[in-house]
Amino acid sequence: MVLAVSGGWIYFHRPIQKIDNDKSLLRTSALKEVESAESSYERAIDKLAAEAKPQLENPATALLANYHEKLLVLDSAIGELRAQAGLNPSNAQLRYQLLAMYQEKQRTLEEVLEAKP
Amino acid sequence: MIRHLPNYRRQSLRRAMAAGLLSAMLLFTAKPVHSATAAQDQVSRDFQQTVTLGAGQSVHIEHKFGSVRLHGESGREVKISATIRAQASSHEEAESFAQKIKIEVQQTGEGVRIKTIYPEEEKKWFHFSKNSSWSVSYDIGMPSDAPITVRNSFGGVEIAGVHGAADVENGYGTLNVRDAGTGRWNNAFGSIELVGAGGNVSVSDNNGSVQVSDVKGTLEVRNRFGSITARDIQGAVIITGGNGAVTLANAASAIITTSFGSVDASNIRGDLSIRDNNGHVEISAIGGAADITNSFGNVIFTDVHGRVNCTTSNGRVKGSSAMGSSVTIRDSFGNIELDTISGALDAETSNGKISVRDARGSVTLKSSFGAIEASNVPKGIRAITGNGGISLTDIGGDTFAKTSFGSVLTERINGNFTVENTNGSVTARNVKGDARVNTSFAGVTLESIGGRITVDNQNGAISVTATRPASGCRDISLKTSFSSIRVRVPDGLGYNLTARTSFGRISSELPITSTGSIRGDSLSGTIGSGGCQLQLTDSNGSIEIAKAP
Repeated sequence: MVLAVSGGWIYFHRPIQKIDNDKSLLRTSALKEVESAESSYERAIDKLAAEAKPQLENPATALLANYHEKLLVLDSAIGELRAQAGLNPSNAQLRYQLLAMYQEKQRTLEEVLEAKP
Repeated sequence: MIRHLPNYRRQSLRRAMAAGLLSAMLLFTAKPVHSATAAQDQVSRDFQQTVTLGAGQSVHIEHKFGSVRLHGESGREVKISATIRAQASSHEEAESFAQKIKIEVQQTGEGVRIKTIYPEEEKKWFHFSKNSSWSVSYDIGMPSDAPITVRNSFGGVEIAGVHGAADVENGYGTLNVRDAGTGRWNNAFGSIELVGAGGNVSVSDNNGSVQVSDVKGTLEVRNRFGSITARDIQGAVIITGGNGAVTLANAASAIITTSFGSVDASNIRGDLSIRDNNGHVEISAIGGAADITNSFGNVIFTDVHGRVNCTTSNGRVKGSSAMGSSVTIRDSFGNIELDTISGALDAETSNGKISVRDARGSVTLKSSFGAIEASNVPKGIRAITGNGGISLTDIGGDTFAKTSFGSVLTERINGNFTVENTNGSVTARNVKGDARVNTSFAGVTLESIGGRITVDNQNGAISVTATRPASGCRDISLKTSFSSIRVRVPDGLGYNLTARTSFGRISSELPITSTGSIRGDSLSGTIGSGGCQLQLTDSNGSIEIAKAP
């Protein structure tokens, strides 16, 4: 009986082990590279955003107003993801989602600039 | 996209793309290095628990920072398997944090509640080490008929073979569902893919693509900024999109509302309603009626079995094989091109050309500042435009054409022919019925006219050839000024002639019997035995009467 209980307890509370092949958390070296790449991404997007700012602040068409709304939604998502990534920096899912939001924002800004009359 | 941008912008975009690519590569190829340094120590802990679910009970999951996989199984057990991962600057820190992450499994009267609890209080201490991170991933087997409720964020959700009612809300991750039942599937900032659902389905996304297929019940989809694709839906479909393309194929019926994105709908067994703005609309194989409202985009429809009602602006409309009772088109600033229309057709545009071929019902076409062309219209036509030409061929019934500053050209009209024109020429050949033409400042040429002929022109020549009617004769009345009148009538028919002009001659190839005084600018008499009226009135132009060939 004691053996059975002990065995069960050991099974459900197995000792913590090191991970060799999991990708849900980034290692420090990869994390630094990702953070550096994200900074480059942000700078590039900031330039696009500066160019698109006049159109977005006073949208002349319904399409531009729609883009403006979408960018606000994306900025909100980016803010949330950055806050979470600040607490949980190596979480690959957070980084992947943040990257996806940056890509979406870049694509949207490009479309705004293409829509320029 | 980039080719339209200036060089400096292209460079910045390329840098951004390169950075993005690098990030992606790192994310997907980074191999975890077995930690030699304290900063990269990572540990994992497995959690497993099995509980039994009663009949009618549900599974509730509340989670974040990791993936959730759910799969339906036979039996009544819920088999919970989770992997808790933590990374910190030292093995001890990582181990300590991993131990503090709790998975709470509660059995209540409603079913099983599974919740991930992170050590919120310890986070501040934990984050003295900047590189500390964590994630928890679930793999849960459960009774396939049990209802589920999932609340997840910052991780993907995958569900397969769970047929109980589902209520799933995810955020910042993908949502993939296979072989489900009735369900409400919500996501924000992530895609949704649903393949196979046994009941009614509601899907909502905020910013991500939505793909749904093989649904046995009805489908309702809302997506704020992203594309929507739905296929093989047995029930009715309601789609509300925005800023993304909508594609729907094989559904019972559909109501689609979107903007700033194209709509492509095909094989809809019942009615289809589309409201779009700033998008291209294309529909085909519609079993019921099609009701389309659009702007700033083209509309193309084909093979529609019910009535078609299309209102659009600033876009072209092209339609073919409309087999319903009616087709009504209202457009502005766009051309209309229609082919093979079975029912009544009423098409109107401003600043656009209208082309129609094979329209079997009554046809009314209106344009301003655009030309009208129609052919093979057996029941007759009304074609009205402002500043455009009109060309009508093979019209089976009465024909009315009205324009100004445009020419009218018709061939083979099997009914009466009426033209109201100003500043445009009129040419008609082979008209079986009466021809009545008003115009000015342009010529009128009528050939092979079988019925009465009435032309009222100013400052334009008139050339008319009447054909021999089946019986008797037909009246001819031609009037113009500052130009000539030439009329050809069949030999052997009788007319009462009244011809008058000024500053011109009157000549006749046919013998005319006249009594009283004969003047050079007027002539009254009889051709043959008389009978029908031949009234020719001109000023400053000659009049010529000849035999029809």
